[in-house]
Amino acid sequence: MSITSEGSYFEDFTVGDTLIHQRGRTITETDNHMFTSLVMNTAELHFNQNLVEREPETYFNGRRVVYGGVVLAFVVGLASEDTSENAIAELEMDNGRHTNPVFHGDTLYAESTVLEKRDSHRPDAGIVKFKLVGKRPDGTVVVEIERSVLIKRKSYFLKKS
Amino acid sequence: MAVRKIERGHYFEDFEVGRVFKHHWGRTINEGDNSLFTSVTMNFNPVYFNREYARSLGFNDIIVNHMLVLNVVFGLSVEDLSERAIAHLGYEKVKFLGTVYPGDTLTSQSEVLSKRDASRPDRGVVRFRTSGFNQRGEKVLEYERPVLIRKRNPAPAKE
Repeated sequence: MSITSEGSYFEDFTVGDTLIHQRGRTITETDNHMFTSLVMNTAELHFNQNLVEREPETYFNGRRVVYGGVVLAFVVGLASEDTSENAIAELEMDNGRHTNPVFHGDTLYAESTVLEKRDSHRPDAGIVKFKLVGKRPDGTVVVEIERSVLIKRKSYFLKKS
Repeated sequence: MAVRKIERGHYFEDFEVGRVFKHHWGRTINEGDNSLFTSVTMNFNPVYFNREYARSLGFNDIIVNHMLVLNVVFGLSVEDLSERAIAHLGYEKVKFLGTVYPGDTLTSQSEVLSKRDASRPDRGVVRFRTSGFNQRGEKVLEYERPVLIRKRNPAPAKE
């Protein structure tokens, strides 16, 4: 049993394919509060119920909204085993949008579409660009972003000795 | 003797294009931060949690989860940039420029790139470019983000 699977090397991705990641994740109040605080994000709309109730017209009908950085991190996590288990680094992200808010108790799923593959400056890895989408079970998109990842090449790491 | 309310955060009017903020605090990312973040977000790239595997790829140690680096640099910027935000809209031109190891200390700074009114009179959109640095002053991250921010003095609503 190897540490990483043999199905997620650079060579295994095909431009145009969409990978539907199996697992979903219900984002809890604990997730939002813990990570918002862990990274010292002081924006109260994520953690002050009294504030959002005082001004419901400004703050999502009186609900605390989950910090977007947490939403993105969970969606990347949901995609990780299929897209970056063999990654050496995350390189770039672009055109990221939080298209809908996420609230405590919402369940998220993730999909990745392979947009592009290219060589990197190193012989042991190539770059795969994914369009990563996070969705609710009804298909509503909550976050989308392009994500370029440096991924190990099978030809280098799994060559027969 | 005085009782005074201390307010934090900036409003739309406070952001002048070109203004640079050197954000407070800094943050040493320790192994516990990285382990917690990586495990709870179920990020299954072993470079973030298996030291021997990370070393086999040429790293000196486990590396810090890129999404944690992004979130810490972002978090440090919030009091200056977005504590009064109504919504954080997105991320653009995110570049991870260097490896961060447990024990590294990150700092964050931002520049105001542009600002514009939004459709509702009580808010506007400000675009920032934020950079994260390690303890040697090397830039490890850069990104832009547009934020929907409250106005201190909303213009009268249009008829």
